[in-house]
Amino acid sequence: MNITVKLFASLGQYSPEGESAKPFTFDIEQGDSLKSLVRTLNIPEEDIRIKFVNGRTQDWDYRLQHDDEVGFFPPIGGG
Amino acid sequence: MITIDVWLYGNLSEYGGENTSPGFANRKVDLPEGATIQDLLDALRMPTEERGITFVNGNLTAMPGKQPDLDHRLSDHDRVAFFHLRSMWPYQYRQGAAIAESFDRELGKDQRQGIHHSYET
Amino acid sequence: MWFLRINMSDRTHQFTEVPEKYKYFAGRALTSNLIADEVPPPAHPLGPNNKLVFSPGFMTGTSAPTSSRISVGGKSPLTGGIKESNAGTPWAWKIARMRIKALIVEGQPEDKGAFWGVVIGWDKEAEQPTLEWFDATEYAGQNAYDIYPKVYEKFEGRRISVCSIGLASEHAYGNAGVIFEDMSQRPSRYAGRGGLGSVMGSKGLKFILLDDSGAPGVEIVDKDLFDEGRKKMVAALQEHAITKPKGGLNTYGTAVLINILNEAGGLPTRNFASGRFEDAAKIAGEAIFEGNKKRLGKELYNHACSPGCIIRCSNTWHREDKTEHVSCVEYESDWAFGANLEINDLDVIAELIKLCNGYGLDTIETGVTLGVAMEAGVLPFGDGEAAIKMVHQMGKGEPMGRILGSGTGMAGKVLGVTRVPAVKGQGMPAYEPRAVKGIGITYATSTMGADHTAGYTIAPEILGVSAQLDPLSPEGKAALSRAFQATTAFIDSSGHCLFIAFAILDIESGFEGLIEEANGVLGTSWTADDVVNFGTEVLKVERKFNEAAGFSKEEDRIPEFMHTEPLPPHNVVFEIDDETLDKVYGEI
Repeated sequence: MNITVKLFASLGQYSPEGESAKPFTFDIEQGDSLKSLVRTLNIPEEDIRIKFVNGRTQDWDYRLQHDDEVGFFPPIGGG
Repeated sequence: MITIDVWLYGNLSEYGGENTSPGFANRKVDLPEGATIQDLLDALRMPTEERGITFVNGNLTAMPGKQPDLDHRLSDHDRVAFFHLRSMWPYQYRQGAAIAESFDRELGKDQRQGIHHSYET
Repeated sequence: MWFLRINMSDRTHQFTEVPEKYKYFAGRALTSNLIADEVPPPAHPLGPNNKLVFSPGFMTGTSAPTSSRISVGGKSPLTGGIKESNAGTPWAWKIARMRIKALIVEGQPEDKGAFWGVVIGWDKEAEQPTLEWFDATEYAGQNAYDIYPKVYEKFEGRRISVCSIGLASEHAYGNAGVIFEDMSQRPSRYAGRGGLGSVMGSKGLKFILLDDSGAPGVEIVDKDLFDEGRKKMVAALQEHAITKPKGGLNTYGTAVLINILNEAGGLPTRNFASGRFEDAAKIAGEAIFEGNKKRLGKELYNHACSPGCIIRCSNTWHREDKTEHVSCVEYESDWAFGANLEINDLDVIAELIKLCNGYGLDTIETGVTLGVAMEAGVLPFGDGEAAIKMVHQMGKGEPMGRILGSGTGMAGKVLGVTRVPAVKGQGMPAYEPRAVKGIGITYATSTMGADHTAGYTIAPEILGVSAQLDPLSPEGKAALSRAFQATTAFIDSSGHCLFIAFAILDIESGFEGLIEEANGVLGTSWTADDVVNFGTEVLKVERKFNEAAGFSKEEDRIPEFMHTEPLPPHNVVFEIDDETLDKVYGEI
């Protein structure tokens, strides 16, 4: 199933084109959590401070659904 | 012996002794050669937790929760300013202002890199 | 949501639906895009082809805390370029609750001496706003403190909110603000900068009154999500030392910055001759708090300038006899009449602010222009009485007053002064570029002229600081800078006051709250993204307008004296070269 991911500010370096806030589509397994997504994307967990799914903050164990829009922020305020 | 020109703002003016004016105090403090910010705080009997933004000769040396300046050695006639914890300096108005080297180095280490006001957490 | 167009040529009006293109624009993003799309860049700012646009933020009018800001845009009589100036006021709250996304004033009447007012109300049955006209000529030529009570009285029984111009706009000064009421019906909240009041005056429009009785309020798509976000934002604002009740801003007001900038060596003093004022502590926010306490015999905390503000930084200054002298002694106003003129008396500063509020003058431009006049020897530095007389001359339209009313750049030319602290003709606010280099770059390159609220920040590598000491990659630093820039652009469009930045930068749940509020109002899953992109785009749109209006990169410069005169106490000059300044727009 597909989800959309956006990596903000300094996390942009982990995105396919290395750019901040640029959305990319990602194929994951049904029932994957935010935690497993981050591992798959190879982002150090401690670099992520804020996690949004569909405009709402969620915990690490949130189970992803088809078409979810995920946004990760480093420990700075930034959009 | 060195003499330090100390400026204390807001409620910190209570450490100003007899030299207190409305909202601030300005006093001279004599310290031995080689004295540091910590020695100055001791002489003022002011706990370091009570201060926030701090300047030595116009160079930023500390922000709330980040005080790499305790070992900073003072020189004769230095102007030291201590601000209360309700004072502010928004990021966009301090970009490119004079910063003490020790504080700059400390900010470089921090992932939050100086756009913040408070570093308490 | 509506666009309201008011045509002053034939006194007609029109409510139309919001075109798709502007759906996510609000505040400065909307005013600047409308001006760029509809005003020919060569248009004379005071002629029939200029327009004046008002737009609230997209959170304005909701229960989101501290979000009642209104943007005003047009082509500036002061700079000759595009202009946005904003204010916090109940007026912003009401226009948003009537679902008016933009109010566009256009055209020009042939009859020059007449002034008009409009009352915008809400028709509950038709479910749309209404507009009625009234002859306002009788209110011309008077002080705002005299006419405001008369206007509230004329519409007694209706919950009227007032936006108006003052005498400065009737004289068509480059220095003339748009005046908005505060929570206590004072004419004290200004979209002050850039002479937009004169654009309104040139169209013969004296008042825009709002009566939001029966209005439906702002439409919120996902109320639960909005409430979640709002609660987080409230909690963060109430927790942070600067924004909480009896915190920094509520106790000392924005003038809490006076002592900070003074210690940093960046408080412009004596017309930008020094970065430190020896009597700064006597006029600072801390001194205002203690001074009021002494005179009133009790502690006085500040009040909200607009509905729903929980930061409450708007202060009052009281006379010896305990009566209120003026609201509000903001940092910028305090500095402009204090350190900049070497005046160390809060009673004099309060009087000068009150005169500006009454005459419709921008306090920053007025103080900076007076500094230039003092430099020229027109009046002495430190002479409060002479300064007060001079502001009266400005308000009354006497010859020297008219020269000063034309703004800092123009007055400097007329008076033959070389130390003129202005960019694109607009006087510099209260941060010395030589001591705070980032703000210097902002003043130089802003589309607004010397302006401290430009909505973007400077990449550290351009500033050339921390380069060796910072272990992070240049990419990381640039990303940080862009993230901060994006955040401020987002705050600007949201209608939130920029002071929420403390709570959202330092407290993560505050930042989460901001995004959730936005997603709740607009029904999107990631609005911040759109708004942030528009925030960057808007700078490009503004720049393009300015270029078409005749600006080139040679106008993106700091005055020469700042490159050559070392500024005490750091004894530094502004050493950032032209090439570097020209790179700034490559950054965004």
